[in-house]
Amino acid sequence: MTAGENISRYVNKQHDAMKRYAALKTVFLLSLLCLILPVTAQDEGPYQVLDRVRNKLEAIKDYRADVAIRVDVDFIRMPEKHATVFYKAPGKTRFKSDEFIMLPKKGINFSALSLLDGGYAAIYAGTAKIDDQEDEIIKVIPMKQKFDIVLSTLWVDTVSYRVMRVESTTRESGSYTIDFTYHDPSLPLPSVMKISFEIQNFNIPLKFIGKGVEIDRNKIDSTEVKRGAVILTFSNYQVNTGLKDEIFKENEDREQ
Amino acid sequence: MGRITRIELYKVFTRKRSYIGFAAILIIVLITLGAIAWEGKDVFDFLTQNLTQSFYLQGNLVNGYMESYLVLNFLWVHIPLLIVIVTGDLLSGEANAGTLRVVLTRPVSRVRLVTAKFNAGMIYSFTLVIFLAVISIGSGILLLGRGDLIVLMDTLNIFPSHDVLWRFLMAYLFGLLSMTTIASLSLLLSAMSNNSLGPILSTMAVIIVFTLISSLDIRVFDLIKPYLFTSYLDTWQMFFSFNIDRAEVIKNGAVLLGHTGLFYGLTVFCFSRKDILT
Repeated sequence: MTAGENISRYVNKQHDAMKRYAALKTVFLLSLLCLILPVTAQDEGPYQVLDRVRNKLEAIKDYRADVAIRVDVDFIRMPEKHATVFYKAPGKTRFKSDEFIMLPKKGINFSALSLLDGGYAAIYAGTAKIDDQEDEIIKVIPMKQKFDIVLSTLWVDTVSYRVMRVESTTRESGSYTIDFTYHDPSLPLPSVMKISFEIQNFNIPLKFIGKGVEIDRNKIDSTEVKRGAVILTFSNYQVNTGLKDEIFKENEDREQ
Repeated sequence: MGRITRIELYKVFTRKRSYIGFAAILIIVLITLGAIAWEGKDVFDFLTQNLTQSFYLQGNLVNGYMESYLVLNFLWVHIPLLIVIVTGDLLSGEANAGTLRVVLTRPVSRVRLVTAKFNAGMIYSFTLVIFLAVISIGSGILLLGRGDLIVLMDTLNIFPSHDVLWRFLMAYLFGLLSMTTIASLSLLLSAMSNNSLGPILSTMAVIIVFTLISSLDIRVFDLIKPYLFTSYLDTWQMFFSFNIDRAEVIKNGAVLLGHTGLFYGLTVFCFSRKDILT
């Protein structure tokens, strides 16, 4: 073996060693990345994320806001309505309006605070994009007795710690979805709240139908379930002004 | 207003039967008001029972506008009958009483006489409809207050209170147009008869039969419906829709106006050729 061949073999060996090192380095880095990635997504864990959401909401003791209500159900024609909404922690809400308003029974009283209050089990369920923004999906099973919600899935923005979407399944009133849009970065309160729910087709009692109303018997007899939505657009939030309990009294009287 | 029309109006408004319509309207409105005041909430709850499964309904829909809308529904069934009691008797009543021959001995043409009677009939119909509008809306607002109006059509339409009055106004205006058709039909039948009751009853019969055909959802009748004036009487309901089909309203109005003109022309024709024997 000549000296030239020896040098060439040495160079080749060195080259192979370098290639192996590079491959090992890549495998190591990839393994590290694989280990790190889920930890990053779950670095806080679902409970920590939800705690931060709750902490933000707990800062809101009360608020009042103007609200525009739009009912999006295909058999209801009604222009946008306006009301004032009052809220006082832990769970008093009142809508006040001079106009006739329709509010969905499902979802209107949803409060992440009450969901996260009194014990719950949380499961991390991955990530998903809502409006090009990556959110963490957390499933929440409330442990409270007699609580209407059986299971809620929350899409949480872990930058602002605000709930972007909720899908809830209730004991008695089916399921509903609420989509939240936030315009004010300083507030954990939504600017737009879209409540989507299932609704049974409206049957008009025949006795009250006037002339000229076309009757589609298939529609009348059907127990078809449709999707409906109510979109609430909030403005002029006045937060923590110390709302008095009397504001909610009328609501309580009606409920009794 | 011509002198003959004023004389005809005097004749109309000095007869007791002319006030039956006003009395009936007053009773209809009072009954409706009472019914709504007593049971309006229950009726509303019944109507919206499967809506309340999904919604909290907040606000007052049992109000004066609801009462006015219910009363307005009488426009296409009951008010025509009340109008016919008077307008069906305009020519035949005089023939029956034997005064027609005397009237025509005066220097007045038959066309002028028919026109004066037609005008008097129209004014009476307008007065009755305006009375209905004022009484139902006025008393409704006064006793039950204002509020949003709920109308059950193909969809559930809820109109805000500030968007309601003009709809009533337009509906009543169209109602006036509808009533002129009824009044002119009864005048035509009145010109053909020599007794009071005949034209009144025959106009009522025509309205009832035509309305029945117009409202029955049977395919055979679909061919006939466009030719019946009763198919257009309820066009006022279109004003209680969010998307008013203006072309349809104008077309239907023109059809009714055309019928009125036709009936008036036929009345003039028949009365001009009629042998006045009484």
